[in-house]
Amino acid sequence: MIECQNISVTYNNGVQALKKINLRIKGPTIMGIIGPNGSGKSTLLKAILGMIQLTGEVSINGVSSKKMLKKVAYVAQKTLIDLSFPITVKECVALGTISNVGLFKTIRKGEWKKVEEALEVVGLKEQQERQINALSGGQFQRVLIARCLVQDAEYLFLDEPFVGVDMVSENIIVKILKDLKESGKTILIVHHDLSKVEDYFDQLVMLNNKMIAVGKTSDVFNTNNLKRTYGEKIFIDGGE
Amino acid sequence: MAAEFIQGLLEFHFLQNALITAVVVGIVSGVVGCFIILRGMSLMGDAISHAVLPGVAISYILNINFFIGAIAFGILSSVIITYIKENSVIKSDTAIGITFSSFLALGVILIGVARTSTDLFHILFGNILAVQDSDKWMTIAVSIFVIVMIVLYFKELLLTSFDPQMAKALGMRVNFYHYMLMMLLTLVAVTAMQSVGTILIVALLITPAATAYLFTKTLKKMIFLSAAIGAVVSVVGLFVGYSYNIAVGSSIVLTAAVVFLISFFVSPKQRYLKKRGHDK
Repeated sequence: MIECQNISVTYNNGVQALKKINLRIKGPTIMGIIGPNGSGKSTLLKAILGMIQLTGEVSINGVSSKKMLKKVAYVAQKTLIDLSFPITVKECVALGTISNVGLFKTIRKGEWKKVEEALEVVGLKEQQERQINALSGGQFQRVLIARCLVQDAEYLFLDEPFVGVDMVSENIIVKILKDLKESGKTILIVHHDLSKVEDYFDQLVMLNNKMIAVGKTSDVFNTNNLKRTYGEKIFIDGGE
Repeated sequence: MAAEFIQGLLEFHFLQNALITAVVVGIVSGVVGCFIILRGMSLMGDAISHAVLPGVAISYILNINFFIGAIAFGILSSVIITYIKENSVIKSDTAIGITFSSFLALGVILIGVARTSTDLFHILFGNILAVQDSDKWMTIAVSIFVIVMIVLYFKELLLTSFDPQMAKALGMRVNFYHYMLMMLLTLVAVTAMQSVGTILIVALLITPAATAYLFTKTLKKMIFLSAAIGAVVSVVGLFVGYSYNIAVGSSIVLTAAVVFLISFFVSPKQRYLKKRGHDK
């Protein structure tokens, strides 16, 4: 279980990205995090991972999150990754094994087997020797999902995984995530496309620097909460 | 001409020292340079190579090993640049420009004050034909240390260069690897000072690496190719410089530039010729 108690984050420029967030995530589940630009969605993931300074308490399975980082696989927004980097698909996925391989040691045969299996799951085994810049946006996102698979983490944090992704890849990724949930994983996804929220997520966090709503998607994804999250001008299904 | 060069190599100890030092510096610069260009730190490499100058001068004044002063100032400049970048609205290229020009100016003044027998011109532009045995062995030892560090920390350097966000999420000390690389860069800058000089070190760091980048799809292959290009251009540059009695450091840099230029047009990654063909 992930627990956030009263977490607040203020950036160096004085902007408060998160204000007193309380959140309890009990898995297995697929939880979406939605909100307008600058509402602190990505910041929330980073705060839970201890990647940024915060006030308040975060724990994973009852232990400080900084001691439980091996339990979490994190995929940042694709735009933060250098796609022209000289690295093959296979090597990129193998980076998921890095926390299991000791300092000064190289990746073992068994780990490479895991890499092949993960690539098989995301349907990219044939592409394993290609450089990542030869892939489409959707294929590269599947590579990043494969990297999560080899990490074999209990929790997956994905930041905007469907941006710039074609429908084929999106469907493959969603199926993999649903299978992972069935196998006991908890998945947090920062998301912006409201039309897919009800199809993809069991639970939802609605954020606008402060917590607007959290709970089962069927309970919280309604016009009232959307207005409180995005402002009055939000439209769903053609109605306000 | 080649026969004369080979004859010179057999006869003159100074030329043997120059060749060995040039090759070693070419290899180690090629290796470190790969990380410098992939992290988008070419300007930082330039800054640090200039910033070591006051460190070298102070080492002469205090009569200590010049590596100590150089490393101290190399790291100091890196800390200052990173601090300005992260704690102000000033962009990194501006922070780099201010820092390196200030350090270079300070170095020139300190060398004047030190009144050593060291020729400022040789520090700025290199003088590989004057390399002594002790310098050669120091260069070899430092280069081995740098390469061993990169081999030992290869996968950590790979991840922090490629996806620093993931590295942070795994709890890796991304800043530690940044400053480790800065330290290695400083060591290379000091060793390369004798072959190409402070002003031109950045060329030896980034040109072979950029050339290798055009032909390779993995970091390991890029590093090997970059090291090989660094070694070859150093030998060719030394040969040209010695044969035509021109500055060897500049010959090495220009040879590297020619290799890059040819690669730019023929590399399959760049596909320059193919693109031109399509345009017609």
